[in-house]
Amino acid sequence: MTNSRKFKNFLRSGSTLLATLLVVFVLVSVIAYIFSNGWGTLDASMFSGDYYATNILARTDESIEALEAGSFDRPAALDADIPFSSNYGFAIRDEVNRENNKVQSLVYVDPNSPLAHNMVIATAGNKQGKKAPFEVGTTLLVVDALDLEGNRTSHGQRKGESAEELVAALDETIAITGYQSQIPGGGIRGPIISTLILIGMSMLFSMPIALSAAIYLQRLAKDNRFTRAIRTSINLLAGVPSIIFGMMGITVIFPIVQALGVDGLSLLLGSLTMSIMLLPILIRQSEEALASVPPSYTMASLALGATETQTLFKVVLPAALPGILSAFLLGISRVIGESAALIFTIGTAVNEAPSLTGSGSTLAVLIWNLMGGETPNFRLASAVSLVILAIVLILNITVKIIVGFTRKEETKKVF
Amino acid sequence: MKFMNRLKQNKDISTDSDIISAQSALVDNPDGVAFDIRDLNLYYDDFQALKDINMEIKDRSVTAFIGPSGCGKSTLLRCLNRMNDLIESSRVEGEIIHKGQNINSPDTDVVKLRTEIGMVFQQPNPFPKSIFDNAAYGLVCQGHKNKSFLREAVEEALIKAALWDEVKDHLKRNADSLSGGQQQRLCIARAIALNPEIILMDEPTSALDPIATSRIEDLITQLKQEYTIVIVTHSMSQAARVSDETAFFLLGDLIEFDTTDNIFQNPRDSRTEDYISGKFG
Ligand SMILES: Nc1ncnc2c1ncn2[C@@H]1O[C@H](COP(=O)(O)OP(=O)(O)OP(=O)(O)O)[C@@H](O)[C@H]1O
Ligand SMILES: [Mg+2]
Repeated sequence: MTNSRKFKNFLRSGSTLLATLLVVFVLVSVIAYIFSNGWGTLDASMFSGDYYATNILARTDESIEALEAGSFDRPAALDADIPFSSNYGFAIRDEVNRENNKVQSLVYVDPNSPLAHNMVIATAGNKQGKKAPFEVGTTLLVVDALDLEGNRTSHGQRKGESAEELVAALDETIAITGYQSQIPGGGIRGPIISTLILIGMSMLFSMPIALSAAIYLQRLAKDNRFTRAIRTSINLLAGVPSIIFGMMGITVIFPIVQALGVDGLSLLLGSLTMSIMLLPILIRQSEEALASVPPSYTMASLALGATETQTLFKVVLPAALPGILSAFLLGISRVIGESAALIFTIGTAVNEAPSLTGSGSTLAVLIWNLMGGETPNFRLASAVSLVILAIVLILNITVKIIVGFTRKEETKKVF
Repeated sequence: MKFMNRLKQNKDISTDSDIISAQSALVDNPDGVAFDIRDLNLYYDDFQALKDINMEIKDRSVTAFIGPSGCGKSTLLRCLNRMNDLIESSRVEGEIIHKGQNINSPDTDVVKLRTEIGMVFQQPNPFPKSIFDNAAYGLVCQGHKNKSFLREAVEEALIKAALWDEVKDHLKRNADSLSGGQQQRLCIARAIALNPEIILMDEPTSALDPIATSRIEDLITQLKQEYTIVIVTHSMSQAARVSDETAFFLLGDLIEFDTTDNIFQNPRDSRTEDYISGKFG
């Protein structure tokens, strides 16, 4: 009897422990995978850089035919195995960039390098004739030079040369006439801004409505069939998959936004769609927050001759604040993590300078984008995931701090 | 005749301002009656919780409601400041005359009524705010903003509630950090700060230990000089100690209402006798 009970007990606690361990293991390995892939890709330029690479065609300015080679000293700090061109004063190496391409990137540029000063952009456009950027981080595709006999030659990655071969070849030249380079893309400044705009607008639209609805349902509505019907439908709506909200956005909200003069996919359309999608869950959470306020506070307040409104604003809402804040946080996390509803409404293409009325791509949609192509870019996707995880973490901590701050005094025993 | 006595009584122990307010109370309640309850019936849906209650609650005295659990003491108490309005299922019939007005009438300014009639609940229920904000709450809700006025009012209320000495250096602390007995005195202070005429107390000491209880009882005895107090209690000894008049209820009926001495020494009804001697309840 006792033995079989012991065994059953062991089995029960053993299986729950196992299940828990499994979940923890899966979570830890996912995060470890993201970290190992994404960490190396993260750097400061990623947050400020453009997503699309910019091609630059540079040549010497009108006055000079070619720029003569000089003699530059290798900087002491430079790793010995990185090729350095003493003729033109730059160091370059082979690497794989954020966009998962094999490239040759500038690691060092001497302040007096002719390439850094006397080259102008030759590509047609409004930048034509401006000084060409020859900076660390830029990738060099091909360099046009004059060899020892004065004949034109071209070297570099385009010609199938490694960084080392390029540098060696340039040592055999006397002057340079132009180059093609690329400012690498893979920066997520645009998606970050899009995400922030979307968070801001979605919460701006949804939170006041959700809070009002929660106040109505929790404190004003009579407990009748109508109220119960509303509650049930809110609960049902909370379970509707987001892609359906995306479709609703494009079919129902789109004409409304269009009537406001915003045509095409836009962050406005996306944030309106998100707001509606968030409403059920925000209402439910806010209602829970309000319900958690002890009725004795309301009684005490009303018994002291406070009006219903005063009771709400002076006692109930402040007491519900932690719960309301976590509803807010939950809403933000949903916006950050959403992709299905946004693909239809804000588009998938990255917008370098997003605005409310333009299309764009949030970080989550970007991940979808990066993983969707023929050659999924795991590394950049992981790096973006890390950024998302970091934002969510920071948000969580902020809310904890705010809640802790408002609650701080409660925990101190005076007497 | 009666109120001349009362006025005299007040003169012995109180200041001039008390006499002025005593006089104004006399004007408001010319017969020395704080509440004249007439044919009061109260229903929760179909259930009748109060049956034909008729009683006069005297001004500036302590009236105790006693009776077994569920007999309607709290319900009647909540009628006196219309807190039953908050219970959707409740329905009231009959009149409660207070200052010449029937407070059950739909014209009654409930918010104003509740500033004149304070209430203290069974469980101490301070707001999760500072001690100061708790005590000042009612006044702030009335629109008082002047800091020094609020400070004085809070100090006065806390002194009257016998809490000032313990909290005067901690007014900014959260009220949750106080002990249960201190919290209950804060709740009394919070009601007093509004300078009400009447304080309703629903088992104010049932959540407190004997020492805190006796402090609150002392407080009630002091407060009755200035306020009309109606207290619900399950403690016979408490009713005997603090109250001037006692009402005994049973299953929604008012069985007996008399001076406390009479109720405890010569009850007229056998059910009252059984209850106070502990035969049921
Ligand atoms: N909100 C309510 N809805 C329905 N019935 C209620 C409600 N409040 C009280 N009652 C009923 O009314 C009757 C009187 O309740 P009340 O709370 O006034 O009793 P009480 O004398 O204060 O009891 P106790 O000593 O236990 O506090 C009880 O039968 C109770 O079940
Ligand atoms: Mg009760």
